[in-house]
Amino acid sequence: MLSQRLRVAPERVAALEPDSPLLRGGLGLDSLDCIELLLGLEDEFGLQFSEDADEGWIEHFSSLEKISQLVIHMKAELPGERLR
Amino acid sequence: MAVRSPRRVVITGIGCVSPFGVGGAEIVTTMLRTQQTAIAPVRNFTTEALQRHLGAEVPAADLVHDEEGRRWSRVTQMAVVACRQAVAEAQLAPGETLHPFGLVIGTEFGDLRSTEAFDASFLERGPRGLRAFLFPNTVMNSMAGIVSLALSIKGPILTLNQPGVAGELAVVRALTLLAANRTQAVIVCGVDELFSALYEVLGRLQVPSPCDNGEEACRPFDQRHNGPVLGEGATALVLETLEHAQARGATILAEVQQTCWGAVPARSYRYPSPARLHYRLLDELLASATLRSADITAAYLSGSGTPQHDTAELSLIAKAFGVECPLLTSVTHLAGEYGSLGALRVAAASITAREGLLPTLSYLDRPIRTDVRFTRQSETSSPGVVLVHGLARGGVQTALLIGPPSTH
Amino acid sequence: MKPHARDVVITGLGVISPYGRGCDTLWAGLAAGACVLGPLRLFPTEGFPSNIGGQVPEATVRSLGAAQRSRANRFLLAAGEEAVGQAGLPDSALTTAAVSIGGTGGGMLEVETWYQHYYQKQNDRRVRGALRTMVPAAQTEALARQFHIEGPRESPILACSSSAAALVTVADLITTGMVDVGLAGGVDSLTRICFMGFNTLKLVDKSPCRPFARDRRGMSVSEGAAVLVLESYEHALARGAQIRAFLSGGAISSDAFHPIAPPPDAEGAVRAMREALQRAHLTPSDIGYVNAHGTGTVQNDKAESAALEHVFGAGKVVISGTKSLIGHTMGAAGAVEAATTILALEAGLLPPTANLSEPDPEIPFDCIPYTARPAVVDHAMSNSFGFGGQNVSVIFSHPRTLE
Repeated sequence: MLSQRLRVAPERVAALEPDSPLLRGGLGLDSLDCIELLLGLEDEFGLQFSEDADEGWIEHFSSLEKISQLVIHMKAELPGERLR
Repeated sequence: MAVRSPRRVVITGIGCVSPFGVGGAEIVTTMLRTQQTAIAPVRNFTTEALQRHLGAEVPAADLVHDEEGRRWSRVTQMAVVACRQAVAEAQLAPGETLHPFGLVIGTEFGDLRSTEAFDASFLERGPRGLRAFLFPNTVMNSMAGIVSLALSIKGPILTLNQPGVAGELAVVRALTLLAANRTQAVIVCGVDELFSALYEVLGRLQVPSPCDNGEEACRPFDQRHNGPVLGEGATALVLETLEHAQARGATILAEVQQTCWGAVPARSYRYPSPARLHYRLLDELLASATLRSADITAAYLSGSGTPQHDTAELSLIAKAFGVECPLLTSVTHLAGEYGSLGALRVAAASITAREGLLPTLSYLDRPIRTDVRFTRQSETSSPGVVLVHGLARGGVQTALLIGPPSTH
Repeated sequence: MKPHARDVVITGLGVISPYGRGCDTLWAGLAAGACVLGPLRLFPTEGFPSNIGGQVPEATVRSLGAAQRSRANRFLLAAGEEAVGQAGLPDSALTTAAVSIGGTGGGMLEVETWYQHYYQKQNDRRVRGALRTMVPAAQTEALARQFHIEGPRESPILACSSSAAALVTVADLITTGMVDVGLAGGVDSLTRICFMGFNTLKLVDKSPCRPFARDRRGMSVSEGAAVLVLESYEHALARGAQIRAFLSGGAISSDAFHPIAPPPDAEGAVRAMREALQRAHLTPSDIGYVNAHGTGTVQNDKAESAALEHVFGAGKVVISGTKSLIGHTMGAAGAVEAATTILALEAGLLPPTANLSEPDPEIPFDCIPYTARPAVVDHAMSNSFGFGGQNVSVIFSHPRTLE
């Protein structure tokens, strides 16, 4: 998804660890990238994020580990779960 | 309709992303010297199922490789690289120096490729299929936004949409920004991209050659003319007031001496019919410029090979100049036709003004008018003032006088 | 203060809005604080979080006739007709006038229908003509053709700031002596792409947008057109035209920060406002009202508030976000809101911000909640801060200030 949707270079994706920082100083993803990732997650995993996201929601995308935690959490909860 | 700039305006940098290569003024000079056309069978996409197969393309390879260009669409990359080249040639560094600069981009179709991809992503898979990061590119100012970001340009910023003469218009608007004292320097860029759907759709509208049963070819002003051959590219220019250029010791490539901008009546998306032409614009240009028409050594024309286009433009030129018609030339047969080709015309004219180099219209066996002179054999003009004339679908008309750097 | 010959005045206004046809209709709605945002009925909206926005009433659209192929063309020509009619310009003035119309979508609504056919490998010749009015320059051309205008023609595209930029660029043509008269404005019709795009970026509110509200959640897409007739002061005076307002100053700046987000310090917006003030020879305390860009997104309103604070000081100017009433008219917004600002100056009444049940405590400005407020204002500012960091600020002055 990082490679296809966000056009991140394959070697940079391969070098990522579960806790590598994805935002800002790390891979440098911004809010526009995170929306694209969010849409990708909705699509790939059949999730439905609620529209009422708090400010700071993009912290859920700050590492691969956080993203997988998010997906696991979302799949376990009811649909329309608020993105805290 | 003449822009009487209270200050003199000069060109200090040229940048090109073109089928002839990526670089500065030397790309344009090489194009003029070697006279090699970039028109060839299209390679960036398939034309197998289509009636037409020719185009003048920028090679498909990525123009920007580093991480920052990750999300930049192709047309955006073309604009950024051309502007960077122009800035480098003008011996300016991106960053704080460029904060006060203005930016004017002229384009006919903008990032239409991204717009199509965005809509297609919906048609393919519904709301879930939408590619969010394409959406900002669906408005034509997205290239200007990225160029300003990449070069740290923080002054007045405009994107002008115009078929046919987008490049010329960007120059004229830049001069007005300078005249109104909004900035002392403007980066101007004409950019348009050729892609599969656009090529096919313009084909269905019978726009490109052949629009009759003839051969597919690019022959502006020739009796066999039957439509344009489509091209693409980005050409950027650094325009500054003379004072600004001199104060920083810039090398001056040419001077934009005078510009005129208006329109002749025309139907929607059509060229003006000869019966309804008027000649005010060129008359006004010649009246307001402090030179006689005989002092204009050459004129670059915008005629695309569409018969009505070529005919109307020659009528305007012939009537305005009469027997003192300058040598007429064009770059369309070399670079292909696209809405912002005019920026390349201005770049070529600045080289002609300084060095006398001219493109040869070697294909022009049977001109549609014999009362005007075209550059049919290899010839040069003496350095001097060059006219860049533009006429677009819908009737917009532009005329720019480009002169050599003066000795003042 | 005595006006100069090349000062720029407004002598005509024309508007098509979600209230309906005409300036009077626009003003009646704004003055009443009537929010007309509701379910969109122009194309299917299922599957998207927000399906509301501003839409020009069907009765109005029908009244515009079917001569023009695209909805955007129809809106623009109607607005142009009203403006030119009001200004009473003679034909000779129109021939050499400039025309600059901003827009973002052009005739894309009709092209979307064509594209759906094309994508499904059908080929409907009837809708193929839509391609001829696809780009925004086609609307400008239609307006020029309508009035036989042969002067400088331009279509500035600056996203949400397009038509505000048109005002500034035409004003420059007048002040530099290139033309005496210009039509400046903008148009956008609703398009599926615009509706889908803002939804996908999660920038739209499910409810009518709430600029400057504490719990604001995004914008509301909308459509419309506005045309203003600009003239040099000497030209207007010579022909005895009624001067509606002076365009005292305007500026365009670039953020160079991000493709869509504004910089938190709103530095580009600050510069645009300051330059507009400087060109108008005014200080911040001279401005009695600001018509804010106020889209209702969390980011814009916050950044805009920071910018206003830098320029005016916290709480030192009255503002309102009229997008709360009619939504975000995209490329037309700058011109529609310029017309709004001029009408407010004329009426001595400032339009309110609707849906402002709980103002954001971090926005230290009086946003005129719900009810229009009588106020005699000499100078007012209208701001547009577009996607891609393209900021425009324009200042209008009541004619009584310059005599």
